[in-house]
Amino acid sequence: MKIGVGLWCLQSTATRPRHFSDVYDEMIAFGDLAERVGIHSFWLSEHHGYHDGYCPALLPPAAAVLEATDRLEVGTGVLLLPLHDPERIAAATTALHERSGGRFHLGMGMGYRPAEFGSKGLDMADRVRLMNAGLDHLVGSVDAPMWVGVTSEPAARRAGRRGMGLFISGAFSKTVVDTLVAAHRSAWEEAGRPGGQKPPVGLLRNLWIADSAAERRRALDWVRSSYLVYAGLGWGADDTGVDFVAQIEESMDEVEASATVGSATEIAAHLNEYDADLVVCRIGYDQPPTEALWEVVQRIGTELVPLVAAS
Amino acid sequence: MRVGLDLRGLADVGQMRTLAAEAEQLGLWAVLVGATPGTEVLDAVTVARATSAVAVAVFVDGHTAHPTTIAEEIAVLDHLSRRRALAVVDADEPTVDHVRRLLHAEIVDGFALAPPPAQTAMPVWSASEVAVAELGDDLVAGRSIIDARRDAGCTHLFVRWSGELLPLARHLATRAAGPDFPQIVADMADVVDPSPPTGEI
Repeated sequence: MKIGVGLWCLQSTATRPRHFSDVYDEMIAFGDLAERVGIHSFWLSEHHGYHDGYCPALLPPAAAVLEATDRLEVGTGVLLLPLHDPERIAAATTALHERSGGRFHLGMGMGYRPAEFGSKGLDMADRVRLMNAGLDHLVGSVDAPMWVGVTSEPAARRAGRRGMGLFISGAFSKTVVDTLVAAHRSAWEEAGRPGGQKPPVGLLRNLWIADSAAERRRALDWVRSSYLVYAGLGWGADDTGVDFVAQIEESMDEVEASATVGSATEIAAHLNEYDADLVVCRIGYDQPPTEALWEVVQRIGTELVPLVAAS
Repeated sequence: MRVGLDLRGLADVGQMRTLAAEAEQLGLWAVLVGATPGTEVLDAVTVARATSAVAVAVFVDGHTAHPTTIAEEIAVLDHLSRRRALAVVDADEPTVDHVRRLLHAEIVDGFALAPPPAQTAMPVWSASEVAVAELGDDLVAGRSIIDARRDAGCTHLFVRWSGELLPLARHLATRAAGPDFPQIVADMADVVDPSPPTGEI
């Protein structure tokens, strides 16, 4: 099992206001650290027009981290494909793939905020059509590793039948994960096994390596706080189907319950229960101080990576 | 008049890094990149990572990308380059204006660019505003082109140049700076230090 870290969202939030240029510099320092401690990959995330500057253009920062490293792989977790021109994304992906010696991964999702579609003159009602057309264009024109970010079985099948990797976001139980993995695999088999090799499964998991009870509680509070960002994104969306505000405590409880906080040994035992090729450790919250984030990236590389390398 | 180096169309990224770093070392004002729709800002990131002072000018295809997408990519580039981005948008004037307003932190059709760029007055030019000249290694011919552009009131010139960069920097960029360049300074510099400094970079 390979271990990545993420998600770098490049925000300056109300809980931790900063200069954006410093946020981008810090990202490059973290990419360098992740490479030095033996982490497989480094993942970025996208939104548009959000007050805290949540990164709206993932490929330029991906290029910067790839330029600054030699072995680290860099991925988008995820790029919102319906909001982009697929031909431009294909050209950029091919360029990043070739220039980095194959270290770029294109992960793609659909997006769920109407305002983001509106900002590009699009209607969110068209997102499934745009997503499918974009994926079909990319699958025929790009050699780089590609993943589809999914939260539902139809999406898992969308990835599987095109031979693309499955990228599952964090807050799901093992039962749901297993269902998505099975849907992905059967769609791939029914489509005649495109690509010849079973496409990989990636899992985004909320986790933190911590020792004492106090450190564990502190880490869980950081995980809970991450939900504030999503509550904020929900306020900008009136038809996502989720009432982010009314559900905030419930959602935070769910996020906390889905998180794995403990020693590297405990986390490795938990991760080994999953049938995954890649786990992206979700640690990129805005609330932990940089020093705490730095320490956990070091510990993921030096403690967790060796424990799951053989699985 | 300021002189920049036009590296559009250079396919070799290693060469792009080397030439951008050398252009900066030799005091040129800017490096211009951006040839293929979709990869323009990736080229600009390569230049930004290889340099620390030159303006990072990027020619973006405004026909395939939405104005919001262009503005978002340029804003991110401005942070990655520590406020050195210069956007050249190849599109009609309303599109260029849309990109410019977003990058100047105006709310356009209810949408505010996030993050805004680091620069207060982000330069956003239309493609027709960009002056480009192909110069060969005949420095005397180069001088007359530079003199004509400078005397016509041009504020900048991007040069396509295939030779060593030192003669461009020593003889032509210097000459472009003002109307009274004493040519003997460049000629004597060639006598005192005839070797290009590439080995020292």
